[in-house]
This record gives sequence, C-alpha cells and structure tokens, in this order.
Amino acid sequence: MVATLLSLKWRLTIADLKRSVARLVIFIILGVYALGVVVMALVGLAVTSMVVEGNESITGAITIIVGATLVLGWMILPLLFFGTDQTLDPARFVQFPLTGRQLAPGLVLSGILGLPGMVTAILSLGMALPWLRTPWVLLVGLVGGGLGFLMTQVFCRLASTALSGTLSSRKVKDLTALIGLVVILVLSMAGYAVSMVVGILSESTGGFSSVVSGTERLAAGLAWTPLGAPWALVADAAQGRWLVALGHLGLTVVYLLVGLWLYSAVLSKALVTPVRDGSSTIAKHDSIARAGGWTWAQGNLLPVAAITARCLRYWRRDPRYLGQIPAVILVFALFSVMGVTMPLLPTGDTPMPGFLVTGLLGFGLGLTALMTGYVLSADIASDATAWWIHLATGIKGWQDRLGRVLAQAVWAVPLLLVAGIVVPSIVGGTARIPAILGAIFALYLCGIGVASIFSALIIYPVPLPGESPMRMKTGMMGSQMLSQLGSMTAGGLLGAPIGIWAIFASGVQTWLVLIVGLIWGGAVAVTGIIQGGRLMESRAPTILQTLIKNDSRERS
Amino acid sequence: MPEVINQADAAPSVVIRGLTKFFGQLCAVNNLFMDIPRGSMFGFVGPNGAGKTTTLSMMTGLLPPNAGTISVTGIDVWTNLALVKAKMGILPDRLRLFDRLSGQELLTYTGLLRGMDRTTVAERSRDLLEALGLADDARKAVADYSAGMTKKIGLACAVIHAPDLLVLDEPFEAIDPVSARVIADILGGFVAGGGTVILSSHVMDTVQRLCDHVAVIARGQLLAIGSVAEVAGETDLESRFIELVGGAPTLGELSWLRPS
Repeated sequence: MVATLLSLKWRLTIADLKRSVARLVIFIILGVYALGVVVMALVGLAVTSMVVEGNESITGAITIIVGATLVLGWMILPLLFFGTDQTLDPARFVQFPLTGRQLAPGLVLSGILGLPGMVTAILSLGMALPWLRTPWVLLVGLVGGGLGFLMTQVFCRLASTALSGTLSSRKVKDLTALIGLVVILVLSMAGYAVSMVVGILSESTGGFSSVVSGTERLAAGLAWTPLGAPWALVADAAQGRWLVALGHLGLTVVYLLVGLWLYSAVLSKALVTPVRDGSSTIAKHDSIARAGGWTWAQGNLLPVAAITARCLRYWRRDPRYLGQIPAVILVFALFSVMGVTMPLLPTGDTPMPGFLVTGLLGFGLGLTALMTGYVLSADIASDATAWWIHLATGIKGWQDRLGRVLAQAVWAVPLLLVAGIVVPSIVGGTARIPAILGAIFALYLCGIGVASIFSALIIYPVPLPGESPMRMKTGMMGSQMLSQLGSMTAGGLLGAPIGIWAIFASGVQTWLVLIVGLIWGGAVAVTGIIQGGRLMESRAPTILQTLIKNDSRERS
Repeated sequence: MPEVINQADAAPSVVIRGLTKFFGQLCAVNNLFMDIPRGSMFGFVGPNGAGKTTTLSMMTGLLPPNAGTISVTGIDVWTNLALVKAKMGILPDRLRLFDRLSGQELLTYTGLLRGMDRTTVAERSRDLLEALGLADDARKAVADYSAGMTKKIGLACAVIHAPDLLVLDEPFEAIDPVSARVIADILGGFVAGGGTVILSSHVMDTVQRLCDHVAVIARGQLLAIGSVAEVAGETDLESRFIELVGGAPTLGELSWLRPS
C-alpha cells in the first residue's frame, strides 16, 4: 500500500507538471531556488563543524530549537496558509475499501515526493553536518534527522486531518486565513522588535551570556516534547550523554508511533465522515438595495452604487480583500515605527541624522498612499468568472471602475487621513500637515488612476473565491510583478512632483500643496477611470476568457 | 403536438450566418447557419465538447466570433452589444456568481446593474424568490447554496429585467424534479407570452418533453435542425441523436460482469 500510494503521488505530480509549460517553468524556478537554499544551508552547516568544538552545548541547543520549529511549522503553516498538499486527499479514497491504518503510512511518506518535503528531508539530515569531525555523533545526527523528518510529516498530517472537518466550514476557513495573515505580518515585524529588545537588554543586563543560558534552558525543555525529542539525540551524543540519548530515542519512537496511531484513527473517522460545508445565514437586511438610498440620481449612478455596495461587502467579508488592508497598514507601521524609534537606538557618539528620520517617514507615507491606490488592480481578477454579470448586463466601463474606487475609498481615505495627521504630529511636524496630506492624497489618487487602467489591461491569477488569500497561484508571479512594477512606477512618477513640492513647502504654501495635490490627483484618477473604463469595454471578452482560464486551471 | 412546427419561420428571433470560432488550432464552431424562430422553446443539443457553450457565448456577446454574424430580433449582436444585451437574459454554465452576496442581494445587484429602479427590483425579486422556492434562503450567502439552488438563483438573475430572449446553458443540470417542473412552467409561460428560449442540454428526454424546436451539433458542426418531431422522425430524440452523432461503440462481451 505504501508503494502504491507513493507511485500514485508521483504520477499525479508529474501529470500536473505536464499540463502546462508555465507550471513546469515555475516548478523548475522554485526547484532551483530551493536547491540554492539547501546547498547554502548545507555548506553553512558543514562550516559550523570547524567551530563546534567547545561549543557543543549551545550548538545542540540551537539544533533542538530549529528542529522543533520545523515540526511546529509543518503543523501550523499548512493549516493557516497553503492548506495541505491535496494531491492525496483522504476524501479521494472514500470509495475504496481501505482502513485508516492501511493508508496512514503511505500518506505520511508521500510528503517526501513534494518540494517542501524534499527540502525538509535534506535539511533534517543536514543538521547532523556540524558534527562532521566526530563520526559517531554524525551517525546519531543522521538517525535523529531522519526521525525528525518523520515527525514533521506525521504531525503535519495529524494536525490537518484532525482539523479538516472544522476547517472545511467556509466561515472558519475565512477566519483562519485571516488570522494566518495577521500572524505572518506580525512575525515579519518581529525580527526588528527582537533585535531592538535584545539590543536594549544586552546593554542593560547580563549581556550575551544570559541569552545563551536562556536558549539552552528552552532547548532542554523542548527535548522532552514531540517537537524536540528527535533533534535532542545528536545534542546528547555530542556531549557524551549516551544514556540520555537513549532515553530521547525511545521517546521519539513512542511519539512517532502514537502520532501514527492517532493519525490512522483520525483518518478512519475522516473516511466515513462526509465533509460538510458550514452554512450560515448572513445579512439581516439587504445592504445592496439599501446602498441605493444615498444616490442623488437614478439611472447611471444606480449601477455604480450597486457595485460600491457589493465591493464593500467583499471588503468586509472576503479574506482576499480584507487581507490587503493589514498588508498596507503593515508597510505604514513598519516605516513609522522604524522612523519614530530610530532616535532611541544607541548609536554611540554620532547622533542620528534628522533627514534620515524624515526621509524614512516620508517614504513610508508615500508608499502607503501609492499601495492603497494600487490595491484596486486585483479587483477584476478577484471577482473571477462571476464578473460575467458585469459583461452580460452591459454596464459601462467607467461605472465598473468608479464603483470599485468608491468602495475602497471607504476604508482608504480615513486610513490615509489618520496616517497623514498622526505621523507628523508625533515627530513634531504639525505645521507641515496640509502639505503632507496633499502629497499623500495626490499619490493615492494617482495610484487609483493608474490601477484603474492597469487592472483592465493585465489580469493576473489571484486566489479564487473561497481560497486562502496566501495561496500562491501558478503564473501569478510574472504577470503580477509586471502589473505591480508598472502601476507603482507610473503612479509614483505621476505623484512625485507633488511629493517633492511637499518636502520643500512651508507656511501658506503647505495649503497650496494640498489644493493642487487634490486637483492634480483627482484629474489623474478621473482620467484613469474613464480611459480604464473604455479599455475594459473593448477588452471585455478577452478579460472574461482570461478569468475562465485562471478559474479552470485550478479545477481538476 | 407535431402541428406546432414552423409557426413562426417568418420572423426568426435569432439568425446565425457562417459562425466560426477557433481556439488556437482547434475549430470549436465551424461555419454554423441557424435560424431560431421567435416564440419557440429551442433545444440546443450535442455531446460534450460539441461547441454548444461556445456558440451560446458568441450569441450572448461574451465571446467574439472569428467569422460570421449573429443577429437577435434583427439587430446585429457584435455591433450593437449594449442594445442586444438589454433584450437578453442569460444563464451561463460553469461561471461563478458573486457568492458572498445573499440570493436576495445577488438578484438586487443584477437588477440594479441592468439599470432598473429599486422599487421594481424589489418587487420582482420578491416574486422570483417566491416562485422559485428560494424565499426561505433569500438571506443566505449564495456560497452556501446547493448546486440546484445556485442554478435557480442564476435563472432568477437572467429573467429579472423581463428580457425578450433567454439563453440558458444547461438550466436543468443538478436540478431536482420538483424544481425542474417549476422552471419548466416558468419557461413555458414565458414562451406562451411571446418570449424565446434557447436552452442547451444533453438530456434528450428533457428536450423532447419541453422544446418545440431542436438543433443537434457535434464537433462544431450542425447535424440537424427543425421541429422536435421533424428531427426525431420515426424514433425518439435520443435514438436519433445517437444515430446522428455517431453512436456508442458496440460493447464487447464483459462476461465477468455478471454477479450471479
């Protein structure tokens, strides 16, 4: 059964790659990239062997922590983002007379036939490399690495299958996707935060040695859990604690067997429990109809109002839309926090130059404004084939464009307003607020104008409705980067004059910047909406065909 | 009722002349000539991949043809898209809906995009949801609808602006018998009132029962067209269809497939 499942997985993977050249190319690029990372990591690990003598304790501790992170990562990341590799989805075996126990080992091992599995396997074994000079320890390290890899696979499968019932409900899926996004955004800032905290701590307290002893204590604790046990083998062996190593080995085997047993039990249950889709009742009142209420004119503007109301619903409820907001806020927060905290950093004798702070904050604000406008360029692609209704009803291109812009403005304008007022206030630039707002809104409106054109021109694959917003799509990178680079550059260039003026303006001129910025940005936005609308109308059937292609590519 | 044939040949609702569509090397629709009588329930049948959806997409302004013309009530489709779209209601197969909206909202959305005023949209969507048995689920997200319910809300979206012509791609797929009867009745009433329905299907029974006219297409080419009685001839539509399309291969003896 193990061999059958492995060969099935292999055939499916190959067949999938054969289906399109683009897919194959992307796979090869990813493969080369992965290979590069792996080789570099292995070389790095091997080099470590030169300095490991005398540092066995801390090297072992780091091995345990890295290994435990690997296992934890395999458990959590697929749940939050990618979803597990569905090539061998247990649901596909429901019609066969197979038990969970028969399927479990094969499904666990099939992970090695994927790119992430392969990389993990090599790195797990590679973690023995620092002990190159002591063959016995190296051997123990290889065994521990192999067991550690198995641990990642067993617990990944266990976690995802155990939770698959709960996670298949649409609302829970949406929620986890969103939580995942926030987690990764927070994590991406964590590096900066940690380095600041460590920097401040090591200056004020015991210094580097306290960090080391903390690491070792954490590793010692982890070594007795399923996360750390397999990696502890090599750490014990290196320090000559063979008896403890034996204990960790026994524990590892027990954890693996228990994990596998639990997995087969969960699997058996999954095989007889049909996946239910969570159903939910939404909308106490018809917000689409109500949205018509604020229009001052019937006819042309009613469709625009309908589109705005519909997009607002998506901004509120669809994680693919909602997830873009934290991304924009993150860029803003990253630059602002860095800019504001910069003067606090210990720099020794030379003081932090002031223009660096201003530059960082200004760049952050400008980029945020531009990105906020750019966000719109994925809008048609996110509609996916549901967009046909815009085509079939024969609405005008500008109505489509304007409706989306207005919906996005509902959150974008307050956000930019707050950003443009709060940041200068913190660093004592209150007098410049009008100019800064002028530059921000000029860039935002230019971003909108350009995005309104680009989104009719380039439809890049985005996650389909109901999919995780973090899911990478085949062919996404090339066309998305083209669209992103093109529209950000164009928007940036169009808005730059106002931005530069804002830097040098003072006194009454700051108000002039605000007025001219709004007029200029408004003109670009209106032009973009009208021209983008025309472009959309003339390209509509082509756009629909692209959307159909993106949609069916993921159906098997 | 074989008498209903040719009642309206004088004023065809849809006229197709030399319609051709290539996808790369593949010729999906090959030089198609077809008249669809006004006031008819027109069945468009063919095996999978015959070019049904491609033809319907070109007819509804979703896919530009490589050659040929289509006119609807005398108006050329591809030079008067907006005008033609206003007269037409369509139900595409396999395209998504804005499924984060509730059924009620989706219907309202479609109506407003069609440029209708809010009062009319509200009245008609209430009627439609009631008639299609969706009133209880009107506030539920379309994403949570069953396949049959999704078809029904799609149909409601197609008719909300009271079109002259309905183009429905596989309207009876995934529909339970009760709902199928409801839809058939609605379509019947629409045709009786002077509307024209074009529907594609690969269930011959349905077409024979519901439609008065039928066209058979395979590999992008028209094989037969006329009243159902004319096309079916001596036999029933299904036998005739298999005969036209080129039939199933004769089965070899599966001697082991005998449980007793």
